[in-house]
Amino acid sequence: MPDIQETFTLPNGRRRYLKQAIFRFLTWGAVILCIAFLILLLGRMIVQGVHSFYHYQIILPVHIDMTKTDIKDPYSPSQMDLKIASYSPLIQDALITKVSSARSYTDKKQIFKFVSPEAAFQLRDYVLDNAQNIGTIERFAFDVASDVESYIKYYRDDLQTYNFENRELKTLLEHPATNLQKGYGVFITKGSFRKFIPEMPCQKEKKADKDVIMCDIGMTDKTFFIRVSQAYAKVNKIIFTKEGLETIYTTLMTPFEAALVNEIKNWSILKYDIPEARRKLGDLSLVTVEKFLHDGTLRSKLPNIPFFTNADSRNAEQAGIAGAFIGSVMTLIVCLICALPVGVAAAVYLEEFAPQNALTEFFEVNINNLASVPSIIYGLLGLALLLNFFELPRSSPLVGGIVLGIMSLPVMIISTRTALRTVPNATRDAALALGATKVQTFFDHTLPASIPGIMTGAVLSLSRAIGETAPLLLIGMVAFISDIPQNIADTATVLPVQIFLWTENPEIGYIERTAATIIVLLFLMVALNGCAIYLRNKFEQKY
Amino acid sequence: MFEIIFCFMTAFLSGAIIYGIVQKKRYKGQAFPCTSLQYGLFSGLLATLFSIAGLILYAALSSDFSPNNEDIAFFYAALLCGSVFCSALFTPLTYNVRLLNEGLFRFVIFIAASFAFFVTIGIILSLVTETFLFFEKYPFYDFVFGLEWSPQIALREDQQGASGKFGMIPLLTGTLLITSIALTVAIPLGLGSALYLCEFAHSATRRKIKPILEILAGIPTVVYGFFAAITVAPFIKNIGTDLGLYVSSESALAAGLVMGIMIVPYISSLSDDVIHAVPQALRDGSSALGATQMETALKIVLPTAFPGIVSAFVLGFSRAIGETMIVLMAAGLAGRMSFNPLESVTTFTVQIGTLLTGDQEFDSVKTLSAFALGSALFVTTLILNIFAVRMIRKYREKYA
Repeated sequence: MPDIQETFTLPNGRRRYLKQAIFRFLTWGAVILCIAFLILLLGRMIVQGVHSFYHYQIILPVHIDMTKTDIKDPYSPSQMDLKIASYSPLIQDALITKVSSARSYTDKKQIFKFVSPEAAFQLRDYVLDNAQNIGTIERFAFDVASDVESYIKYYRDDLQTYNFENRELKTLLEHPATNLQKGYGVFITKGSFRKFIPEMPCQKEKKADKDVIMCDIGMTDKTFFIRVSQAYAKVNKIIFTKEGLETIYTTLMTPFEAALVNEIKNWSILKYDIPEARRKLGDLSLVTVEKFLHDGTLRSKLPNIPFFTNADSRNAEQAGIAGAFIGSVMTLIVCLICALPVGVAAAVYLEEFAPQNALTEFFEVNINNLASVPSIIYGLLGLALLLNFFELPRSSPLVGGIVLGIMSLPVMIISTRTALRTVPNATRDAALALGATKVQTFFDHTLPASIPGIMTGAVLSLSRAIGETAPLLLIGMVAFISDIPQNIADTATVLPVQIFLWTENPEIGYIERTAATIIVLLFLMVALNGCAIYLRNKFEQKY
Repeated sequence: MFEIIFCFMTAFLSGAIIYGIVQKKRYKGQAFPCTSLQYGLFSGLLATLFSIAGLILYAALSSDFSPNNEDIAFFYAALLCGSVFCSALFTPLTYNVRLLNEGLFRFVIFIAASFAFFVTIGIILSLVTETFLFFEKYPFYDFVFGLEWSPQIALREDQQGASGKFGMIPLLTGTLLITSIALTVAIPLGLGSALYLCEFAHSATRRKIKPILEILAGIPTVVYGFFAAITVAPFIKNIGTDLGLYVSSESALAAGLVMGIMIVPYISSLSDDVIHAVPQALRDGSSALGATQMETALKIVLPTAFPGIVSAFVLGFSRAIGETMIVLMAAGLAGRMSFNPLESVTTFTVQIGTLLTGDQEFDSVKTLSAFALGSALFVTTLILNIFAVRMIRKYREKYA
């Protein structure tokens, strides 16, 4: 038999084992790839979502001076007038008091955008409750507007700081371009800006018979600030001279008393790589953020309470998941009420009572087919049957729950049947032999033994229903709803639909909230699954 | 309040009359001759009759009667109460209480079991009626073979391109493109991990890894959609732009890749089951002849489990074409006949989702077309599932 001899010679055998090793490695790689994807997905959600669990607040002393508002009778206002008055002027005054350098209209507009539009309502609610405090100055913690908040959270890292200790910065008060009233200042320093020359469009010029390099910062896409102990100046133009001296023409962004000292030892250059036109925050805002963070006016707060107590909002910083969460809970309750009794009863019939005939087989095939119908088809069913035929309220947890209930019915039936099947026939036979009827056997023996299994199945199918989105889109739960639903006929949305809605919004404040909502949703699912595992382990009986 | 009293009165009356009939029969010396089913039907029928009578009376008495939801609810409540009262009065009188109760119980759970059937009927009816309405307004031939999908509706009569075009071929190609990308990812990964878990891994490793793969199946699809839209699509776009290719920001590739990962657990767990069911004797025989594990896996196990594995693929395919959220968030809306995975295409589910979200009048061609798409989707997945289940059953009969 020469063939077999040939097959089993060593090189060939080695090649076969090499192939085996490669194949094994490939299959192992498939598993690792899946796990890696899972880790990537969860990691990405956590990295993005974690920013949503803290937020920034701005601490402002507000003078509650009703004469500044548009109220009719500011000295003895009625409750109704207090309710409809516009409180934003008070907040704007408070902001302007903080940032005294904002003089022009555009500057003021920038600063007004620091506080969330909802702050006026917060102030109104305070005044309505504490009418005796009208006329006094009170400290408030307002939510920061989302543009400012996302700048602090994401983009502030791009602001590079170069600290100079013991390098002199002189203020040229006598320079013709200096005008403290109009906010122009000229400084002179030695060699600090030289390293930025490659980043700036500079021209060689002859000035007073000297070769100088003139750099106009306004032409670049960079922004430079000079900081002298919390006083800021924006660099407009630098002139480098041969001796290494730099004359810096600036716009003063904050009151510059500190710089009036002629020679400053400790100061910094701040560089930001995006020009003002392409930023959401203007130069004054950047400087103000730095100042506020330094003096504690802006501070981060760890549990982001609005995120957990508000419903959806058009302002990212006010958007929360409470509405969607309550909607989800209501929908799940309706779903459970619909699916559990019917599902369990159907499973009991098919497993314990059904005769072996064509009808039973038809039912079984039907249930298996229903289990694999795409979920969006259930949405079509809900739309045509529940909304248009029965005219149930659109966008309500009631309809959502019924649709999800119908959808999870096959799963419920299948899992209950599995649970009933684990009860050994010996138990049933023993009961029947003692003269119990089939129904008595079921209620007294089979059901108690299988309840843990049934509950596990129910919880698992709930955890599937909680993440379901597609059918709910079709029955209108996709609307923008800024109120927390009060009952099951209210318009509502649910957590996964909220995720879908926020994903369509490109604002970074919404993206981080989406990721955070995903974390909450996954956490709920883990909790439900943990609950199911606990039930199974606690009550499981081995036969 | 009046309704409730009325309802109880009706129910009590119906119960009392049955009681009277039974008593009379008893005096004559005969038990009420009925089986449990007949009993239930009989008392229900009586209650219904009385409720209808009550309803007519109520309508005659009340001045502004219009059959609205409240009246119907009231009618059903009367019906229910009537039945309950009847059984409460009737039960102690019958000669075999136990059998009657059990019959009632069996009847109730039978109804529950047939509820799933009613759901199927409901789905079919709602799809079929709307689809027929659609084909009344739009020709069938143009829908099935039309090459253009642009479901806009004219605001004015004389508008350009006033009539929408509802040809489903672009959607079909889009669906097939995304699904084939998904299967290209899912089949090697799913089958590979199933082979690893069944043929190579220790049982301890297997027990640790299987639940991790099942987590992938448990993650809501909207999360996959978010990941595809926010992370994968920009990533692919960046890479493509670096390579000098034009990549749409809603590329079929991103949606397909993520959908592929989503289907992996389905394919892997189904293949895992069928591979596990291959008799150990076949493996042992192969090993005894000197085959390596790989040769056993590829030449013995896979051919044996082939029908089951194919049905796993088919089920994965059917899940992929019915998947909504990933494509809704990561694939585009433009109906484009393209097999370029870097362009944006659209699918059946995306169109159903977008046509029916938001407020629309229900009888427009646009809305009805979504139901026609739904019917196509339903029929396709149904055929695929029946095929897969048949195959898997044949395989089971052979080996398990």
